[in-house]
Amino acid sequence: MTQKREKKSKRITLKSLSAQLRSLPEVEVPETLKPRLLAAIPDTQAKPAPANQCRGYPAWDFGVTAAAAVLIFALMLLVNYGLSTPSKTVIMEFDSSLCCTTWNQNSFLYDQNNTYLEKSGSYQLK
Amino acid sequence: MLRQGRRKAYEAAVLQHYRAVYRFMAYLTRDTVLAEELTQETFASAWANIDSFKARSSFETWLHRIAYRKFIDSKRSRRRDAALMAGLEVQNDNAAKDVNPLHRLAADENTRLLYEAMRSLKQPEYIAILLHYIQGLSFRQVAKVLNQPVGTVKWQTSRALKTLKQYLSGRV
Repeated sequence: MTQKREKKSKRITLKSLSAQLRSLPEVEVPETLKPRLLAAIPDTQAKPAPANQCRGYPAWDFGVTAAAAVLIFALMLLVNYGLSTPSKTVIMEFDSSLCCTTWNQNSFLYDQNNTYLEKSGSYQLK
Repeated sequence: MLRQGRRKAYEAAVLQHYRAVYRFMAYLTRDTVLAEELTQETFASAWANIDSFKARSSFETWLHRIAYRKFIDSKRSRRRDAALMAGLEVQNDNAAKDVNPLHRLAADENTRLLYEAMRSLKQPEYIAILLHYIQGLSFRQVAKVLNQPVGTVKWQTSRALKTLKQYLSGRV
């Protein structure tokens, strides 16, 4: 009896087992399933999948990021170069740093002509 | 053709694959009602997402992938429900046997033993065996369905076969 059992167990190989698995009887499908599945298909066309919409996001995101970067760069340029003080003031500061002595302050302040510095002799070096 | 969402093409695809999807669900859930429900959900989800099918894999693989996800989702929700209903539920083995579609198939002793042996497998091994041998998918397709490397799937299948052999050798 035990010998018979041993013989039987030896017969089970991986190959025979896989063949047995492949030939398992077919599962009975309920008859109502097929009409239910067909009835469940709507007449309208399928909506685009959310996955597709998500695929659009990186490109959109990149565009926004690039635009923001350009805007920030433009603002930086504007702050550094675009909004510089008028040349008159620069000259004034430059002159004062060179230790210009007394001048006619009123004429300097109210004279709108740019050439007053060269023409007027109202200042002296220390 | 399927991507265009044409109803007729999709109907043909349903008719071609619904048996396989139901079989897959029946083996996974061991419950006719649940298998039927999940099969319907799988096809509804496939129709809703038909535009995302890019034909990188076969339609069969894609469907199995959706079906597998549906099964995982339902398992999670059932676990929650089971926790809620734990106090109320009364187990009835006879009723469970009536619901299990695989019990009706176990006509001969060998098949019954094989089903028993399959139940002893760990879930990943059981699913690998089911997809490869019963559903007839290639290892590459199984890997795509389970989102795992092909090597892992092959290893799981071979390990499952060895476990089955060991189990059956002890019983026969």
